[in-house]
Amino acid sequence: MPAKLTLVLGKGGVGRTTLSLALALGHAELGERTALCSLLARQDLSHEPRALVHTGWGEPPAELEWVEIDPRGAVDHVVRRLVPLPALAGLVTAHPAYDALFGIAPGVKELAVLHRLLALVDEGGARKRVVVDGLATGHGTHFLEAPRKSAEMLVGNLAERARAIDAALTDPARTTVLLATTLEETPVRETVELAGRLRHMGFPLQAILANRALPEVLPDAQALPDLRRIAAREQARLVGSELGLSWRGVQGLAQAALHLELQAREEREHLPALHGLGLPVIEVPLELEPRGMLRRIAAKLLEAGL
Amino acid sequence: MTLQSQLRDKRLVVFLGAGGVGKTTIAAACAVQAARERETLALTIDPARRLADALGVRLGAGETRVEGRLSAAMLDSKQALDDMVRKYAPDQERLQRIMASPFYAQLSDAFAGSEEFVASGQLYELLQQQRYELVVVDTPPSKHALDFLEVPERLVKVFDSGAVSWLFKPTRLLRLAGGRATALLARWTSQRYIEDVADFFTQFDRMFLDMEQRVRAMRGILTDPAQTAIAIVALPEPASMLAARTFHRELTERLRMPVDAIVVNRVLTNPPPQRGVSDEELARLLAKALEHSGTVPRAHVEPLSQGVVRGASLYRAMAQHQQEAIRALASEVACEVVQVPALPESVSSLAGLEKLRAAMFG
Repeated sequence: MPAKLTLVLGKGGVGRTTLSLALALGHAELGERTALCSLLARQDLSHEPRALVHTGWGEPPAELEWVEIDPRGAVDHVVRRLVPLPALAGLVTAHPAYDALFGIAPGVKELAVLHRLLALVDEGGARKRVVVDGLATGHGTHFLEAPRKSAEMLVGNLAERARAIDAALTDPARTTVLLATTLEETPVRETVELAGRLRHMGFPLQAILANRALPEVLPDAQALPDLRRIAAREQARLVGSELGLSWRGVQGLAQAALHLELQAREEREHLPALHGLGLPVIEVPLELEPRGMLRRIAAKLLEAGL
Repeated sequence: MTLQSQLRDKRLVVFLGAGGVGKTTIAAACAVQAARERETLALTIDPARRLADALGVRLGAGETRVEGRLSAAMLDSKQALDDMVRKYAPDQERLQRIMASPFYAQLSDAFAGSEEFVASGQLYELLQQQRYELVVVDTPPSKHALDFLEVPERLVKVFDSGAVSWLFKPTRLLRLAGGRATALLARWTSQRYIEDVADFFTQFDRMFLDMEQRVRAMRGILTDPAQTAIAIVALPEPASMLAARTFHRELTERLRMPVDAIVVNRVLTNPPPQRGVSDEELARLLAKALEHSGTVPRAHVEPLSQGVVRGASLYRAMAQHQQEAIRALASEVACEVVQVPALPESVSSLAGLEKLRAAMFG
């Protein structure tokens, strides 16, 4: 029985690693053997998830597996398998042109990584779920497009494998895709573009994760003009004299609150664009306290049925 | 040396950073600052045309005078790449073949950063014309912030390494394996694919060789601290700060390009001071004062006083987190760290840019 594959996609900086980690931890804690898979970045841009798990969760559950795929290693692995003569394989991978070429050759690295990833899923066994952090960022879908594009250029075993990978990634019974974003202009625009492209390519989208959503400051929207008024000097003076505070003190409080209220409203203005995708939008609130953060996020994600 | 003096002295200031950090706006505000004293070009390679929006001008193929000493231009590197292929293709049939090649489609999709390669060559030509005392470059929002600096070189390396002849004359390599390899190669790629690749590279060989000189010369300018300043733009969040730190390390250690400034955009400044009372108590006192002063309708007193206290407290916590993240960054880098306060409204006009400029440089 192959494992279920969940791809968490989204541009860097939106908290994709934290969300993937929370989801994997949540399922592992329920006793489901879960692999959290990420690409070994040439530069470590991750949140150092292992350090994060200790403050944000506590002792990681035994059912959690950490898997890192090294893209360069994955390519070497495939080349070695394809070229049965070790001498020739060594000649190929040691050639200076090999390094330079795979720096620019389209699709090769991507296909090799997906090949390793699917092997992990197909192995199944005790492993019930594979959560993948990354693979598509912003409007770049080259990773997920690679199998289909490569299948057109390749023949034989490799073409067959490329087609099988594409079929698995686009099968809703096996794969689900979560799109992570924050409620800011650029990430939302890129998420809408990404969703459009993925849908066009036949990827099974499940939900949008709107991360670090600001809470609304004013429970009653009607009070916004009043907030603006006391953020101005004259009214702040009036209120301040009643309160035994300087007008600057009152104004400081009101301006800080107004700033966040306006920011929260701007965030909410981006929601219709996300709702327009016809997918559930799961809002994950802004977390400032690291302790227990992953547990709170995991609870939110599992409660939403992810 | 401060960012302000870089803008006064250098020939080229390059802004790097991930998409969504406000790189275009920061670069434009810096160009506005520089144009107070020098003939300045704000150059964007951002296809989203944000610079044009922010400056309130239409950007076409050429350079547009915005006002005073400030001009703006956009490099359309996809178009430039197509033009270059047209120029170098010996005949119509070859042109069709290159354009139809899957390799070209993927390359020009910024897959391999050929746009950065072209942009780098174009930037060099622009600098050679010496029409501006300073060019401020807003780099494309690539999936990788260093692509603009790195990819041109990577492509040059491909040609240097002999990858082209390796691909084009695979027989030399195949003979080593006693001829069995030809059959092997055909097992995992189609003949057509090999032809495509060979065709593509022979056509591009001449073009790239011609470009290569310009790209190398551009690299010389980029790595010369007397001519160029490099600034990284980031947001005051842990992930963005971490990315900035990594870019900084990669640039200085691996690419040997000195970083002159890290600009932290949208910083929450002037947090309201903590009062000696609890939030609940403060909200109660504020509600009482609001009621007595009669400044707001009675029904709004409760939600407003609670909102103000909650908002101020959240602002304070967020500002503190930001300062911690900025401090952690500043302790690890040697360059200047410039904090840009979060403005209440997003910048969408020249007047807005002027406000941002004033917030940055006074």
